[in-house]
Amino acid sequence: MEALRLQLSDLQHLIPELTLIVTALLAALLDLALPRKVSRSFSAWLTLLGIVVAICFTALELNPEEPIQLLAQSYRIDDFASLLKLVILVGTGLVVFMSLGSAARDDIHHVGEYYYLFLPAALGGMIMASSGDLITLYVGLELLSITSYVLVAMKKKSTESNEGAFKYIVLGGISSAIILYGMSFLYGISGSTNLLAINSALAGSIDDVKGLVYLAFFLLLAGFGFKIAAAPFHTWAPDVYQGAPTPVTAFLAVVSKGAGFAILFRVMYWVFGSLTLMGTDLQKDALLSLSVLAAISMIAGNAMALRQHNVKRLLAYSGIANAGYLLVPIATHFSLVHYANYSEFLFYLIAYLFMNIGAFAVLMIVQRSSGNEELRGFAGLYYRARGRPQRPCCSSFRWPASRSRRDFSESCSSSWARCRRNSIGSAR
Amino acid sequence: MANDFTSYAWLVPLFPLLAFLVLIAAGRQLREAGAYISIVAMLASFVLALLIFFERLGHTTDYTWNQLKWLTIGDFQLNMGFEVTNLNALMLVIVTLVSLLVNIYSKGYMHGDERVNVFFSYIQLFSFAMLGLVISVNVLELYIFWELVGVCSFLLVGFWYFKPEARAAAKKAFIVTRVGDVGLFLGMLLLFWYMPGHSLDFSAIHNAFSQGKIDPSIATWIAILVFVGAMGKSGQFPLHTWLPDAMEGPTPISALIHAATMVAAGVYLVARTMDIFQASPDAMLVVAYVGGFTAIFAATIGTAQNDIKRVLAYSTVSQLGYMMMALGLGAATAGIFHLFTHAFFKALLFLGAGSVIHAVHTQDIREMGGLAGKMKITAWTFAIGALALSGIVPLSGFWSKDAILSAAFEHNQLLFWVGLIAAFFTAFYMARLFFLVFAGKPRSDAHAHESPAPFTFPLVVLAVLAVIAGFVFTPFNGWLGHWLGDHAEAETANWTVMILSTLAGLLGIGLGYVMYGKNSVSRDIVAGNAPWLYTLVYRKYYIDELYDVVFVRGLRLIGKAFELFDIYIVDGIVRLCSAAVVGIGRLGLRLQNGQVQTYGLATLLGLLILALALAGRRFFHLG
Amino acid sequence: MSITPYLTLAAILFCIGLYGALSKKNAIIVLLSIELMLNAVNLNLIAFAKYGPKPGLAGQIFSLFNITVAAAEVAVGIAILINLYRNRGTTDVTDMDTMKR
Repeated sequence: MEALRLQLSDLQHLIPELTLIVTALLAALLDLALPRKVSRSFSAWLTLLGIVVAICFTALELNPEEPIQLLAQSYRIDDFASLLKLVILVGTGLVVFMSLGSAARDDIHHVGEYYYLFLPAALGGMIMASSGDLITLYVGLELLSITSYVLVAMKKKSTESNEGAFKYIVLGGISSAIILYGMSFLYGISGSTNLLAINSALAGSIDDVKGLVYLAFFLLLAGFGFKIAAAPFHTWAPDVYQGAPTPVTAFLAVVSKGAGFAILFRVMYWVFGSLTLMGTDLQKDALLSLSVLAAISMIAGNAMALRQHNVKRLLAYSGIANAGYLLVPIATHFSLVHYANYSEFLFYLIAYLFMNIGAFAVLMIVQRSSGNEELRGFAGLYYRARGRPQRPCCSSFRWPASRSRRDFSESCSSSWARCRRNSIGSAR
Repeated sequence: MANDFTSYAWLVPLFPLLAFLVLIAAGRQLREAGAYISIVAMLASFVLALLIFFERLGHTTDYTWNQLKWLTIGDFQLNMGFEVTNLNALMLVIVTLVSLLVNIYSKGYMHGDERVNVFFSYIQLFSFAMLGLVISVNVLELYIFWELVGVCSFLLVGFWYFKPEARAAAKKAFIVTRVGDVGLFLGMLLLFWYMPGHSLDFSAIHNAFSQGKIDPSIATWIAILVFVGAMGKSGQFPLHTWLPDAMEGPTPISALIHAATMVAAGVYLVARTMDIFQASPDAMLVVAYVGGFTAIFAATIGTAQNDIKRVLAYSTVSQLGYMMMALGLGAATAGIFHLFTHAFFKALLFLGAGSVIHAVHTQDIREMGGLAGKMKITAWTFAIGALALSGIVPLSGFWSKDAILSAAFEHNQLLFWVGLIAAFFTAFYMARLFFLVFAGKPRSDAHAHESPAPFTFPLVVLAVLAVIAGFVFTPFNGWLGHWLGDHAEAETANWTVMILSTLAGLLGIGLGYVMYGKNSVSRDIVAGNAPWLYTLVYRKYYIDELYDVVFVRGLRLIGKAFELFDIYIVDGIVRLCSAAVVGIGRLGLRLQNGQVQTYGLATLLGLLILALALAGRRFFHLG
Repeated sequence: MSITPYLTLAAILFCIGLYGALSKKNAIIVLLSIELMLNAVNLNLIAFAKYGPKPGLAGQIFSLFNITVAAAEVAVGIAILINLYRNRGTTDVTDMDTMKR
């Protein structure tokens, strides 16, 4: 049996996470201790510094000789986790970077707080990416969620910001409860909170508790579907995206969604889609329901985006559609250990990270010059922004281009090819 | 004998191609120099072609180089290359010579046109395509150049694109010849399918067909389809309509198209694939009858046209009919010989016509007259050309026409008489043309004067050739036939044919003289007594109108039907798709009412539906 | 002792919470209903830990984590609600629809 107690030597594997914690505490303490007169912009730089250091440490952890696991598999540091952590950290760093200077304009009163709150949020995402246990998974999820609620509400005087945050917390709370309810059944069936243990328990006694397993799966699916904003669990996204300060919206769209996918991937890969359950009805249904979710998200997200005039809401719908695309590699063919699914998923996620943050950055610039976030604010951008056309042009060209390319490479190739292979395999 | 020059035959088309590239790349900067580049390039080609020709004089074996691997499909490999046979060598000389003279002529004719370098570059491309076609080693290579020739004719006929007639004519030339090209393409596919080893090489075709390895019925199909291609390019009935309209292009181009390049391609194609035709008597008969009909059909139309170039154009169609008739009768040498002589005197006539047009600025022969005194060189050379075309002893046209007619006399009496009557009409309309243009009194006050040297030099050269070119193949001198490897030619003089054809020619000239030279017989004798006949001929037997009704309108009708399909069915599906997307979007947005509890309910319902639909079937055994 | 009554009770509690969260107009009650759902989960976990097929301590530990996290969540929720009340002067959930479509 592995060491159940956290050894001091294990801490070296947690250095990226610890860096974030230390930075966040330091920034919080400084924010409290320093007099009001002192500008809080140091907070931003401190946050960025912490993120950069964490990125370096995470990069050092890449490609370990064998996956490191702490506390009896409840915390895993493997390449999947490390790469996702890099995505999360880079995304957070870019979001902090694009908030520089815009925070005060967006009538955010507690600027210092605003910046260092990104750190626990990113930490939550990292824990999610690494978790191998229901408890760590849930704690990470809630760390990310609760910080996100606060970040969305950061514009204290803005009704929209508050309203968005309230909607977010109500629906987020419900979804957390749903996830937990599902987890409680998984625990009940297996007597363990460890994902691998749950999996082996399921493989052993699936027929006895079929109903409970299905119940647990669908409850988890709904909860995770909510976190990644996949239709039909997407309804919160447009309102929250619209209400939140733009950088926070970008954070929700990229980091929060990416972390949600990380746990979905973990749970699917280790529990419901794993090799031990290969060929069972449960696995087929699980993958099928993910495919259905992907299809609904793509269709509904894109269709609703077509009729949208508010750019932030539009990007929210686009995020829903992209959640559909990201679901495809997870939904297709888990039954064989197929490494390309990791890479396709990560490839899309990285592309999604850059194109989305680019789009939101453009939105911020346009918002500043046109005073609103409607689509018409973009009209004539070419003529207005001729002097400094690089960023808007780049991003607005890159966005649809990369989207369509990824759409095709991801959804067509993996969806069709693997779905067909999958169905052939299951027919056999 | 060595193949010193022959092995460099690929250079012949290359010179014009280089000139084309230079002109395209630096045309604007070159200004007047463009013409000289073209002339020099063409001269180089001509000299090389001449050297090859002389080198070939003693040869009977072909020189083939086909080492350029072009594509490999499975076991099948297609090589490109070039081939020089005696026929090819002769064609190279004809094409380069006429092209060279046309280049020199164009230097004067196109002087002052601001797109003169574009014009020359097109000519170079045209020559390149035709020369490449001539030395092609297989049918596919020929087809590529064949299409290139078509493109160039389109560009050149439509050179004055600002004239609507030129645009229409260019389109017509392209589309009508395309109809023929489809035939050639299908023939090529059939050939590819049935040839042993799928070889498309001419040498392989020769072997396969002369040894009877191909089923005769297949050979008939291939031959007829190939002939359809030749019909398109060589203006045989019923695909002749583009040729007279192509007169909208600059006159040197008319000369080039009608004498050496475009129309010669069809005759050359049939001569080159003669083995296929000889494997099928039916196909030969078709070729012969189409040729004979075209000969007399176009000749009659020529008698009623008033545009100097149109008369010549119909004369070309008619003469091409002769050539096809000869090929169809198995007298390949006679056909090629007529192509050879015709190239010179028809180029001469067109260039002469160009000189006249240049002087009087009109193409209507009713407004000309009395030009003989003012334009001596043009008049004399034109007269030589006209006499050669009419088949008067001892000019070149006489010998070549005589060769065809004697072949017809031996093999098919009907076609002989058709050819003879066509010869009479030919002589008649040439006489009409000559007397209306050069004799009598001027009918307009244009101050015509002789054209400058770039005009007259090619005229004189061509006139000399039109006189002497016939002596290479006379009943008393069968050298050409031997050289081209056609031993079946009759070498004995057929005096009946000679006398009859001379009589027909003289009769035609005489009638033309009394009607248009001396005016002793009323010109309107036909128009007055049988107006329907005159109108029928004048309107070119209403072929264009017929095509308009049958094909153009018919196709439009089909197009309309498809348009309706497009509007209601295809567009309907598209609209349905967009409506579906909009509907989904609208439905989804209706959900977004801002009420957080509605959102929660939607999530819950979504979960329930998903779970019931996917898991329910496991538990309730519904499907 | 059978586990069924505990699970049934938890399910009823969860449904009451869900119903309250989706139907009550007062925002405080909505937040409370969410707490009810979380408590149902805790009940479930402890029942499984004690009477489940594979009893163990992990369920109880999980529920401790849940309680902590739920406290944090509700604290943030109340803070946001207070702020919203300051801006809008209402705690009626149905009034919060400035952003839609």
